[in-house]
Amino acid sequence: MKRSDVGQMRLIEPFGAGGGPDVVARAIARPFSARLGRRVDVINHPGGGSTEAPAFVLNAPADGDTLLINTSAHAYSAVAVRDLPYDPLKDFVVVAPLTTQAYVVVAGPRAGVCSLEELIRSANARRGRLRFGSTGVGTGTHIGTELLNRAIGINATHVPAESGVTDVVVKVISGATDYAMSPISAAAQPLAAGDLVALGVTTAQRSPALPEALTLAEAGASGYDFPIWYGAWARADTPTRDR
Amino acid sequence: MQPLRMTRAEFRDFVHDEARSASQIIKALGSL
Repeated sequence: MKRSDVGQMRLIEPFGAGGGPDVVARAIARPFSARLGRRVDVINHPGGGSTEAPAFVLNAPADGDTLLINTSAHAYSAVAVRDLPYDPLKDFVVVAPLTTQAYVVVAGPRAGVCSLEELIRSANARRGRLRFGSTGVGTGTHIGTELLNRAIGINATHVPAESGVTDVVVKVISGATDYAMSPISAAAQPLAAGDLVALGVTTAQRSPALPEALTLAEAGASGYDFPIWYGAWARADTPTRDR
Repeated sequence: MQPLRMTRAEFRDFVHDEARSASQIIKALGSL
C-alpha cells in the first residue's frame, strides 16, 4: 500500500470557520473522503491576513496529504503583500479549480446607511473617515472593496481583520468598521437578524443565495463585477505520482 | 456558487493573469 493510500488528509483554509473557503472545503471533504476511502479533515488556519495557512501547507510534508483551499487572495497576495515568506505562484501547484461566487457588501447599524447611495453620501460627508473591513491586505475582500471605492468615487480607511472572516463581520456589527465585503455564508445570519444591511452583491448577476439583494452595479457602481474564485493547491515539490 | 469549469492548466494561467491584473489595479490605485 502506498503511503498516500493511508491516514488522514487535511484541507487547510485561511479565513476561519464560516468563511467561504471553510464552507467549500467542508462541501468537498465528504465526497473526497468517500472517493478516497480516507479521513479528510478541514483545518481552519486564519491569521496573517490569509498568509498563515499557505505557510502552514508549505511546512507540511510534500506528500499531497495537506492541501490548501484558498480564494483569489492566493493570486492577489503575490503582488499585494510585502515580505511574504513564500511565493504563491511558484511554491504551489494547482490541484483543482473549485468555484466562483458572489460576495456581499454589508453595512452595520452604527454606520447609519441602508444603501450604496447612502454610503456614498456618508463617505463624502465624513471626508475619508469612513472605515471598511477586510480579511487582510491583498485578499479578495480588500482588493474588491478598493475597486468598489474607486468605482463610486469615495475615500475610506482600510481596517484589516485580525482573525478571519468572523472578525470582519463582528467589527461591522459593533461599529468598529462601517462596511465590508463578506462571503454571503458569513453574513447571512446577521443579515436575517437585521444586524447588517446588504448594500449589494459583487457579481454582475444577483445571487441565488441572497436573491433580494441588488447587485452593486444596480445599486450605483456602474459596471462593477468582482466574483471571488476558489481553488485547491499543494506544495510545488509534491511528487507527481502523488498528484 | 458556480463551479470553475476549466482545466488545471487553464486555472494555473488564470491565477497568474489575476495576479497581473491585481498588480495593475494596485498601480492604478497608487497604493493599498
